[in-house]
Amino acid sequence: MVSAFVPAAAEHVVAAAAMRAFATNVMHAAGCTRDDATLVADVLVEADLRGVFSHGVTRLTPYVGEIAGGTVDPGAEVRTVRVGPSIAIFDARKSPGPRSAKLGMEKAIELAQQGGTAFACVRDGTHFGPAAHWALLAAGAGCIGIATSNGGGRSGVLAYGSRKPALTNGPIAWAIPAKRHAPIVADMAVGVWAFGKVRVSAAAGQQLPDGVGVDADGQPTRDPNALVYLHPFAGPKGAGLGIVIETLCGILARAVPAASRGPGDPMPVGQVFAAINIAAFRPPDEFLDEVERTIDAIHALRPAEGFERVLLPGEPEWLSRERALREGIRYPKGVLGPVALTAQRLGVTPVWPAAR
Amino acid sequence: MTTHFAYEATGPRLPADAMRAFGAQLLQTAGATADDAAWVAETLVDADLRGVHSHGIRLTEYYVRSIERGGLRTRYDIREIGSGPGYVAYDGDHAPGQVAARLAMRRAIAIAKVHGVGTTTVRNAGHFGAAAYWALMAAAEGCVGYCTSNMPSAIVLAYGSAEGATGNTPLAWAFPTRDTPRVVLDMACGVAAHGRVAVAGTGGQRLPDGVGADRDGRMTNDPSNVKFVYPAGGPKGYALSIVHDLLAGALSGGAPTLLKPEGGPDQLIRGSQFHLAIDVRWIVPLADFTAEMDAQVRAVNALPPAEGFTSVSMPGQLEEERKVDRLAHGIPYPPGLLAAIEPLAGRLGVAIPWQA
Repeated sequence: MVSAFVPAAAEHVVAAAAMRAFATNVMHAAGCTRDDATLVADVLVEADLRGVFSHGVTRLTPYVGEIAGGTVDPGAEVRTVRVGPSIAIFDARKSPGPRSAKLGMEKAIELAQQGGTAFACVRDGTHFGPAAHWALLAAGAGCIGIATSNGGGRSGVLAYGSRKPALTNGPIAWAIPAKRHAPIVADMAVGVWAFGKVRVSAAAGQQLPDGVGVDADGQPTRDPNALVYLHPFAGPKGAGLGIVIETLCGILARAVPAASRGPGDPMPVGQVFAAINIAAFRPPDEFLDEVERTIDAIHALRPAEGFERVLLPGEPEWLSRERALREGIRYPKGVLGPVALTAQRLGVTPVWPAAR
Repeated sequence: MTTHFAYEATGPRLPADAMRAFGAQLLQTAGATADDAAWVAETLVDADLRGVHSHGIRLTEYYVRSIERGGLRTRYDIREIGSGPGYVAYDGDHAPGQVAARLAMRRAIAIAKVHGVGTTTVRNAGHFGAAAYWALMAAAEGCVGYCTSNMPSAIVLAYGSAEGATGNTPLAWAFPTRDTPRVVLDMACGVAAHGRVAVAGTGGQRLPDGVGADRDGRMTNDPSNVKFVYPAGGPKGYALSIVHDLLAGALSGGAPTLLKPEGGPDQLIRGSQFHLAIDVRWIVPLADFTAEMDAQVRAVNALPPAEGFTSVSMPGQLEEERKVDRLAHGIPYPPGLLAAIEPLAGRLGVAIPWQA
């Protein structure tokens, strides 16, 4: 819903399987085991299928760079710190993010079979791709899933009423399984816009609307080139959700919350995964049936002026995925160029035609 | 940015004790047991102390009306309908929501202490008041608290709909601290609480753009014409609202808002609740957690405020500070709010403290 991206025209159309093989080869050439490379490729291509190109194969470039620069260690083993009846704690030791994320959510799902709800905390993690991917893993196992991560970079989102940032733009996602319909997914960062959208405005030479963000002095700006910090969405609500993310990931999962980070501090990433086992609370069929009927009821709502129909959160991405599985992934202009350069440097040949 | 509107509480300050006794008497006269009446009044006056007047003493009018028309039972049998090592599902038997919520959150906390995480659901109960109250109950016990609920009327629009899709779903997260005010995010997924719109109406205020829509789903600035409110932050608030509506309604068996048999012959209120507690000690030493929370609170408080702000606060901080002040000096109420309860008190023959 939030990050659905409808490209005006595709520059390249690539089948998911071919892109998956390509991305696997790139990550393997960069130093990942074959298994890790396959997993990372799955996560990235799944994002592209869903039309969330900001989290798709475009991430190969920073991922390869992080391995080369030593901030991601492809050889690190994830250590299990502790497993309790409903809690698991992992130390990812800077291994590739999708590996520890998968381990974390799978453990939460397993523990939730007994405990109803289980939480897994991952310390010292790295970028895990879209949060929705991990929440959906739980939904696929009959659970309501929650996944969240704080950002590893500097803080970029303002606290409510502040001129300086206190939040990384980390994501949080919930996923709820359905039966005939797509699972319902709420996946959001707390910034009112994504930084990527600001960059698009800058490239197009457009002014920003009021309320997107501020410049380096904390003054409101409509100039996309001057904007450095974003406002949280919905003011105190988005900012409050940001504090929840920083606290869960930064304090409970033992990274450092953005507001407490000093300028020269390391910026570890913490992640939290929760699975709520539906079958513990009521017969899953009854639950799924109610979700289905709710989706039908939402679809039947009269659309507001300017809208053709009312969709569920996660549905635009699902529709994008269905189409891309049939017709190939339609990459917008500019997405694959840098990816090709990264691949060629590692001796991997792109599976789409070279730039003319 | 979101749209905010404030109401000024300017009346004479009334002592919390007197307001608790007043609320309890109203409810008891309407038929509630002395214990339940006192408990519900305690939670309502707590909201007034925190400045959340939408969820304060004004709700007695709605609660009494619900009891009188048989929607809320004053004699009930709250039952466990399912349980396992880490969870309990309750049927609230149409008891006051606060009575069910106390039982459910206390149970979640007790389970969390021995299991790491405790989850409870409630179906078929009344409105539970301010969500913050229950999440904070967990924080007071060294737990992370998370709760949500749903109610029968669909008053929040979907993103792009002209009709309501969910109630104004509340969600709350609370975290323990040591020396700083406890941190609690309590948000309705709509731009504003419907109660807050009503409070604005009693004060004769106009609404800013983007808050409310009339019965045809068209935006209106007149509080008395508001039938629906917009989701906070558009698609993000909508996604949060539908996910939490299902978390409360579909998991408990109490039904999502759109599927509730509202206005059936029995008129019974079928609110649902979801309560979750995570015992911090299962993950990190509590002293470490609260010390890091304190550091985060102080770091956020030290940020330079934006224009129009005098300080930067954590979620829930202003409310906690207000509570300290109002416990010492009494509660001021927004204009019109108390006058609106006078007819009820008159009809029930309950003495009005502000006329004494």
